[in-house]
Amino acid sequence: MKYSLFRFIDVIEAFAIYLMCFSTNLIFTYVKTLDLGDSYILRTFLESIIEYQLLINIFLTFVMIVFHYQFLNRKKTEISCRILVGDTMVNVVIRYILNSLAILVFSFLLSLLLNFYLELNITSNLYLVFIFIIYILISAGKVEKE
Amino acid sequence: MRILRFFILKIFLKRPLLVLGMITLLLLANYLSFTTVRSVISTFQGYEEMEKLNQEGTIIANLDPDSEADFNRIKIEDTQKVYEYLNNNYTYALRVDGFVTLLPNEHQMEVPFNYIDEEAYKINQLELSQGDHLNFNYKFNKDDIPVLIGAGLAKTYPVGSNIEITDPVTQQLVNLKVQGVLKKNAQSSNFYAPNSKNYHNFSIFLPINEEFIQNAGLDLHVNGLMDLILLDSTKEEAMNLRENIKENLGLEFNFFNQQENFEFFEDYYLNSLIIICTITLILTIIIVGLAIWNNLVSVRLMIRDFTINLLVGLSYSKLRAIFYSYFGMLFSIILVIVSVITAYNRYSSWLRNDSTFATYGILGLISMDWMALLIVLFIDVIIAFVIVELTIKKIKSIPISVGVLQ
Amino acid sequence: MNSIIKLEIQKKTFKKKDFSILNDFDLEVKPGERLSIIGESGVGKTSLLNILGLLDTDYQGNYKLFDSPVNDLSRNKLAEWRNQKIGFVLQESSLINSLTIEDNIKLPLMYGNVEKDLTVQERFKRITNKIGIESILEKKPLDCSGGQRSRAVFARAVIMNPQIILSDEPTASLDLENKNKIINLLFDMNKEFNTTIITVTHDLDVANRHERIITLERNE
Repeated sequence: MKYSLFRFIDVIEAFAIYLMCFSTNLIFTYVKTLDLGDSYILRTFLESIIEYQLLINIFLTFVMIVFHYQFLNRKKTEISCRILVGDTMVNVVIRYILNSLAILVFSFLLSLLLNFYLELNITSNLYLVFIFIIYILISAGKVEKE
Repeated sequence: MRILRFFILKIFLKRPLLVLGMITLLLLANYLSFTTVRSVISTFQGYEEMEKLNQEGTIIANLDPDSEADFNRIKIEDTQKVYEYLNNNYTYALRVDGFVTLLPNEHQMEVPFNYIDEEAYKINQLELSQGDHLNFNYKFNKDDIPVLIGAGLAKTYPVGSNIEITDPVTQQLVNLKVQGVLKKNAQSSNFYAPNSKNYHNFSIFLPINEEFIQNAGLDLHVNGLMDLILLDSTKEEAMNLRENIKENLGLEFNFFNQQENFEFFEDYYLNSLIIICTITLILTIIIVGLAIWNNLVSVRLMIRDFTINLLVGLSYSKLRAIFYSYFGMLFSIILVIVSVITAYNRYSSWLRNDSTFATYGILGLISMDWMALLIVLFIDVIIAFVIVELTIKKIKSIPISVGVLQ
Repeated sequence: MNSIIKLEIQKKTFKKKDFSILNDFDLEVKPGERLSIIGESGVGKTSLLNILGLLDTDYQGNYKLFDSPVNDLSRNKLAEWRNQKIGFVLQESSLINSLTIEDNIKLPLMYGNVEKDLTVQERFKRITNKIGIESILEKKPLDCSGGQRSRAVFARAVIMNPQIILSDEPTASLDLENKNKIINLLFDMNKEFNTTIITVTHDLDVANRHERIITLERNE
């Protein structure tokens, strides 16, 4: 944590957002596998939401963009200070990418527990991981000092 | 207004990503609430229809879903025997739909035929915009058959006009006389799917009497039994009919009395609605939680902008009013988006020539949609209250002198 | 002459800290007076300025500003007085970065509802001309030098022609030339409009140029 821009609360925030996105996707996928039998009311209601599963998931991942944006805005002074005392921008960016990926991977691994519990394919969340990696890489270009 | 414009253009929109994030989350919350509210309203509408039907002495027939039905072995003579037995021993209400035919009309919609007997017509009479109600004492093959038509056909076939067509169930050329026009968006709900609606804007309601039934084909006879309603009857009497149907057609039917129907519907509706509302509540709380987080993050980034304004003369009450107006604008945009999506969905029924879902409405939305939007607006007021008050609390917790220098 | 400020503080405590400052502190300031407040860090100089500037009302004591008890004023009234009667000269970083220098200076006009007032527009021109920032009016604060930003902060503080100017370390990050410019501008206001000047500073040179110096000391 000494070299990282991430504080404990930042890690928790990012972690919570990742988990929420993964869980939502898994729950949608799980509901699709359920046999709702004769419950037409419930089935049509869930279908009307699940129809937009991809769109809803992508909308939710947008929260992660907000996280990266506000995080990097808040950290500008800290980045300036680090560079002032001998750090380099390249190192700051690399550490930012690695830290972000570490949080993402850990969240994904934790979401696998839900995968196993709901007996769903472990690849269900992979497309979200790719989206999040793209967000991390794009946001890495926005790592700036004050 | 000047101050609001200043805040929106020069403070909030300077960080468009945060605004976009907020719109996205609130759109999700609104769409979800809208879908749920509309589902609940639709279910209650269906429930009301069901209540009219489910009176004392009413027994509703239902093909046993666990039985094996061989429809191929059923012959018209067998069904005629069943209907003869029915006519001699019971008062019943019969309504059969699902027969679609081609009839020229300005929207080139397929036209569904609804066959309805007098008892069924009395139970759930549809409202008319023009003309008179149906009469059932016509002579089949001699008189013109009086019919009601949907509002979408009224221009092509006005009241008093005649339609010559091969009737889908008797396969005979019949002369229909337009007796009345149904009100726009006249609809009926499915027995077991009360939230699903069939709109009758392009339907033809054809009155059926004993003579018509005798002349009808096997399809009407068999389908007619599926949702047959016995009136002023008892469970024991219904059992006799059950035996008769089994003997003649080999089909297993269940018959449910008022109490059984009531318990089934209460249980089914209530449980489904509870589950739907619980899912919506949980998801809405999560989404609103994220929206609150999004707004607090915005405050974190914009605290200097807010406190400098407070320093030079902005009061907290004005700031609160600015936030309420801002969220009012966001929710207005979102409600417009939800309305457009809904109107497009409704309009797509017209594009698909799907006559059972084609509806008329103000700006493409029917009354149920408007009612749901109104309730969503109320939910939005609560969401805005929670977000704004928490935001103001957060801003107040930061001393102006500290915020100015952040 | 009646006092413009009459402050009697029993103590000022902080919610999250278990100590108090400004214990039994009294202050009276007359119109047109030039007063500086000095003292070591943490004695409550800025807190005192926040109280005087109606930014902080959470303390035990009485404060009369223009003969009106501040404790009786609503939050809206406090905001109105901050807008019309008090000008704040803070450090050069107290500008909104997303606005131009002109928008920053004119910010108080919006809350005073005098944006279209010809006298105020004339005053805006005169002030920006006098302090030499016409050329940067369209620039954003981050595109300006520290001295230019300080002058912009000063312009914002005086645009409503306030009766009191409160300045908190107004010269802290400035070179000698810019420091003198800001102090001279403050005193010119004092001479021209009889504006009361209260300055919190660590700089004894700046403090000595005021009529009266108050030294705050740590409570034992």
